[in-house]
Amino acid sequence: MLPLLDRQWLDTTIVRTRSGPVSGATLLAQATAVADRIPETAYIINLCDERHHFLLVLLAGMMRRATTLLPPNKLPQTMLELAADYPDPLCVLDTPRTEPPSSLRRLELALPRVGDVRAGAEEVPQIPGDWTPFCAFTSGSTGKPQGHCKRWPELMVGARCAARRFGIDERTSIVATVPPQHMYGLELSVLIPLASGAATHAARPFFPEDVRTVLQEVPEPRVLVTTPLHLSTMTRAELRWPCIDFIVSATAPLSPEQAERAEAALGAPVLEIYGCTEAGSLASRRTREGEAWTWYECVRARREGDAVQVSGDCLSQPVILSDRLDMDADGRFRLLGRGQDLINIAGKRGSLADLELRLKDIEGVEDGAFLDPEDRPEGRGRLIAFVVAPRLSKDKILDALRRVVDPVFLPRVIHFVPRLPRNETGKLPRADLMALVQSRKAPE
Amino acid sequence: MDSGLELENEVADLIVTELKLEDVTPGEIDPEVPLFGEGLGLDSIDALELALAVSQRYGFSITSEDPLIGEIFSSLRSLAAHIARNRTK
Repeated sequence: MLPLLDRQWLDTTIVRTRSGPVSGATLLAQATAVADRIPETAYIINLCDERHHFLLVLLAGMMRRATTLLPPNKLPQTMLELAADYPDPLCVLDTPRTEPPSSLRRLELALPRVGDVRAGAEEVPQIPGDWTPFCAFTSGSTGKPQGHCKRWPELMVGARCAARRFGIDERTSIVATVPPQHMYGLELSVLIPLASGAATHAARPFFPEDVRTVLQEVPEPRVLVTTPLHLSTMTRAELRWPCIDFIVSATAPLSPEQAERAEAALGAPVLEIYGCTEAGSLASRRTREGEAWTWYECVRARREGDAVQVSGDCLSQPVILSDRLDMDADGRFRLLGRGQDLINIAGKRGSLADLELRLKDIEGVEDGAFLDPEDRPEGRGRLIAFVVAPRLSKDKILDALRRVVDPVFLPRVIHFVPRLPRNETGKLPRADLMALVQSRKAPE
Repeated sequence: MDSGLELENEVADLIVTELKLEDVTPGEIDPEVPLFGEGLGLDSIDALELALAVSQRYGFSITSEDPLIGEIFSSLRSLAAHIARNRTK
């Protein structure tokens, strides 16, 4: 058994909300009140938009021994797919914007009023070490979400390890532009505060001006947790920034040039995290210093044929990484690029194979394929799709896709073709698709 | 051409250029059709880039605190009107 929160953080601010700071003790009292309203359930789908709400529902779920399912997106179709393997989940939401499918049970979060709670002699809830409090899902190549379930002791070891790497402690104020539902945001803005006593701001600022406003609201030392896309817009925004201790970026790689520009514009070192949903965060670097990454102290990396397997006290089971790495003698590594199937659009990871299955599922689509064009600057830009669909229009296809894939994976361009150049094994070599694009661009 | 229409054309141009939309020309953007979700089909990445482009071109920031934030991006027409009201250059 391991405590949900270390006793020493009960009187420490763990969350900053617009209505004021929330201490560890208050957080637990609020979560207990939320837990009292949760009916018996094996699974919870946490759809809370707001970080403080999300944290309360996560903690409440843990108190009720309900495993929280974290879907890769909030589309109703995705939730139905989860429910097929994890039956009868309870969907908890805090805003009408994310309505779950009507066939699933739902609960609206009512933020409990508990006033300020002082740390007393109450027991901090304990979590069994062999139970999985949550499962993070990725869009696999099989056409349905794949779950990666995690145990509390390993999560806390990982969070403490990450906090140590970055020098985050109970004096730190974290401001994150990323949502708490995905592993990166979950680790940096939920697990690390619980493990280290750092305070996380509940807001999720979007525009550069929003980020500046929230940063100004919190005391130093400030840590900004963000992604290359937000970093890029903040860099170009020409604003004057408050003092930031350092910036963390993840979900897509940064170039040293981008990092240098960001450091100059924002006045803070830019550090990067390498990780994945399956394993959580694993390594870091200061981007402008070079390409090489350094594993966290708790991570053991081993070559397994072409791939790399990571293990350690921060992992519930070993994980084979889907990226190709080049490990050097001193234990550091470089990223060589991803497997062919994986795509990354502005930090969101997807599987081309999964997207193709969705495309071909559409009534009227006889064949289809996606292409990730090579020249997407800073990870932006979008996918190109090819379809054999004589009776459909681009709008019809987009409408159908919009129901089942994350908006950033929607193709910006759809080429309607009489057939796709598949080879004998049914595969579509990328080079052939690129050639197809070129031929359509050629002047008449 | 009245200045409201001129600004709309300018903003349509900005959208197509800054967001690198290959499939649509500025003239094809219906000023009353939604920009996000359906209609033009822009997403949150575009919102960020578009807000930045607007701030650089017209000299004012768009923030989520603005009470009109839901409307500003609801169509080309409302975006242009918002720019007209707030531009400093």
